[in-house]
Amino acid sequence: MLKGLSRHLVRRAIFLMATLIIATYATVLIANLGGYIDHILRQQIEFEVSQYLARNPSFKELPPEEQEKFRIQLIEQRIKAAGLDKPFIIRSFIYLKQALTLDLGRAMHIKSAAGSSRVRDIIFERLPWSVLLFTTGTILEAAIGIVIGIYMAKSALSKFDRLMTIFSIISYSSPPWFYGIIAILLFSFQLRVFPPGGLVSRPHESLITFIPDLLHHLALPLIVWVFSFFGYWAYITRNLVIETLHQDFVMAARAKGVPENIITRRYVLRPAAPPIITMVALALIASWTGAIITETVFGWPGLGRLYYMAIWSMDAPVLIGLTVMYAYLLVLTVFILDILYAILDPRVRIPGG
Amino acid sequence: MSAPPVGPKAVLKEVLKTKSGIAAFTLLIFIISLSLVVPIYAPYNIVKSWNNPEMWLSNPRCAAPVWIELFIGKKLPKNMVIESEEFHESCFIVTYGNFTIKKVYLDGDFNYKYDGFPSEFKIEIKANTKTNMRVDLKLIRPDGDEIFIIEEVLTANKSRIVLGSEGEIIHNAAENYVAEVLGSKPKVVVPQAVFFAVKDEGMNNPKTAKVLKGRYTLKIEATSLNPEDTVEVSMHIYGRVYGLIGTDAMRRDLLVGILWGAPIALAFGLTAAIISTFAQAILGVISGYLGGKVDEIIQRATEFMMVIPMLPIMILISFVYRLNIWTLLAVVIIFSIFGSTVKVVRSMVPQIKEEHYILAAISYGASRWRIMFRHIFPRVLPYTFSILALSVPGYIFLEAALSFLGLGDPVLPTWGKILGDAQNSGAAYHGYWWWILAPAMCIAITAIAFALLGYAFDKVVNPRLREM
Repeated sequence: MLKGLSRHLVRRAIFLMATLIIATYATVLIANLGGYIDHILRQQIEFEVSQYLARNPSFKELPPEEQEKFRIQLIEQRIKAAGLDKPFIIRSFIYLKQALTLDLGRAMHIKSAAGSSRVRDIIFERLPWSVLLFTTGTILEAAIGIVIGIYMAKSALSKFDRLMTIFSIISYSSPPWFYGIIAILLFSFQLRVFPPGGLVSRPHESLITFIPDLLHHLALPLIVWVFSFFGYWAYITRNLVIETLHQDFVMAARAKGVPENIITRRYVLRPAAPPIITMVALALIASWTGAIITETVFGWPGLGRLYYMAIWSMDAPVLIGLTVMYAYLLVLTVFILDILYAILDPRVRIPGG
Repeated sequence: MSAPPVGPKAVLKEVLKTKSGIAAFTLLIFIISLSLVVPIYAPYNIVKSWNNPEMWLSNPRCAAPVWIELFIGKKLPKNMVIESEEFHESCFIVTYGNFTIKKVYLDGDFNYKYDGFPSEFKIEIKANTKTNMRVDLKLIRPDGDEIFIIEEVLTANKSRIVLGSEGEIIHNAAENYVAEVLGSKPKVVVPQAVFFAVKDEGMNNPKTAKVLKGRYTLKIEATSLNPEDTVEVSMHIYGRVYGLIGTDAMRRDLLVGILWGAPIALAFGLTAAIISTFAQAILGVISGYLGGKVDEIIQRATEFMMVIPMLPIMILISFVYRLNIWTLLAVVIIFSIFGSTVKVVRSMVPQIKEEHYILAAISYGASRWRIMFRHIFPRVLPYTFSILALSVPGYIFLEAALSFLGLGDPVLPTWGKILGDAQNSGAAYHGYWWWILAPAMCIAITAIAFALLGYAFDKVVNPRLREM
């Protein structure tokens, strides 16, 4: 049995590693525009060299052939120094290796607030803000949704259940950034209850004034995020719980006269839990990367916004760094869930299952 | 438990019996009727004219929808145009010895009866002269006051002047008039308010000024030495309300963009949803029926596509390659060929495979492809309807998100693009709510329609949901 388990896990690990490598390589290719960025960099070097020489008076005294020779030599030196002399295909694999070993390098244009251009510094400076907003939001929405979902399942087909079902379906059909736009229009500009965006409204010296200001700015995006997803959690939980309620072992427990609250806790929630836990785990991982458009709408300085900035400034190292980080987190989470599933559910180990 | 209806027609009939199905179809009919109105409301090349500022010059900028008057109980100004033909003309020709003087008087009357000030106005004077012509322009107000506007010599080379309320000449005229009434020069002047305001202390501030309603006359006096010379004047007063949905900062009639966005959104969302759902369903059937290596490849490819982050990659591709909406559609479909539906459908196949009619088909020698497409695919089809409907909003919002970020189709007006324009122009900050709410409501209605439709399908084909 253990052999089957380890074989299954090895297969999964190989698959996930392959996924990681292919996804990272695709990002490397796309983020470098298939080598186009190299072309831009090379042109930039040529321009800089010409500018540098034009300002140099001793250079002008050289005869024209010498000038040209010197210029080409200097350009080649700089291209080599920047590592641009190798063809892009080879360099793309170097980039891939660097990305996979988390050697994220330096950003081309973007700098962290502290002035560092190391991709790692830039990412870690913004990560806390994404986690603060989206991880808090995900925990809240999942908790609220699951509680409501269990209640819906228990009172299935009641008026509350029906209304909540329709609400879930409707609210989930639009993404959070969409609610964000409307919420900003309504609560920030018409009612003027919340600020329209940003992290804080002014620089703060002490934490005592910083935290209330931060919370004031956090409130609207957090409410919007929770609003747009808790219905979905409730609906999924409801259906999972109802499915379990119809299982024979629950019927049998009822027939035996097991009290209703023990049935809920021990016979219904326990088997319904694994898929819900999977969903929570994946949602938490996804929350760490922030949300590109929601952060853009609210001007929230997290990783999603960073991704957007990196796209607009064609900052390939930042783009690759963010994608690789996300891919690693996702693949690790999926693998951990695989292990848990394989241990908990023997059916998983059957090949092709 | 009643058995699920088999066959697309039966499913559709059942869906129309549910409340959510009826609601979904009502909303869909609304969106489709928007698409049908397009050729009636805007029978011209919308894409071309949407990006052509000349097309919209006569509309007010950022005007609210007309129907807000019902809510605020005020009559807000609409566009008023006093064309040159509407001016009352009288002219004299006087001859002194060997030279002639021609004098032309033009009077344009209009009745200003609104409860608010215009958003701007524009006066255009066109002289038709071979030498030169002197024109004097003034506005006579209902209270009898005259506002002197300009005294200018027009020549053959400079035969046309346009005086806008934003321009210096009108600004000076308004400033002088306020100084004349109040005795001192104001710090700020808003000509479109001053010209139409009751004379009092608050007249130079549009917030405190009161509208002077009544008959205004624009008077032109033109003098020339050539009896053939003529002059034309027209005045354009821009309102504050326009049409059903109002206008944007480029003076565009938002209704045109909103109507045009409906078929685009439907075509984009439905095409992407139909092709990707059917492709996924077919792959699911193949994967489940053939098994073995094919199954393995399809399953791994599906898992791979489910793991990679879709939105960031789509944003990256749209930024790098500047796609128009149809190439974007193609890319979206390519990225959606492998997806969760493959897994859903594959899980249904083993059970169907064992049914007698399949065994019968095998026994009379039907090929594997015939069994998959003629016998298994139609069986799973009804289950994909709800997935299909539920996936439409996702695709519409994907396009909207890209347009919102400025990465959408460069020329086509879509709902997402209008929303993005509003965001970039600070519509929320300025209070141009219609500019945000109109496209937002349309996207939301479409999304809700398909979400409800998907739910209705789900209830019909999964009777368990119905019974629970």
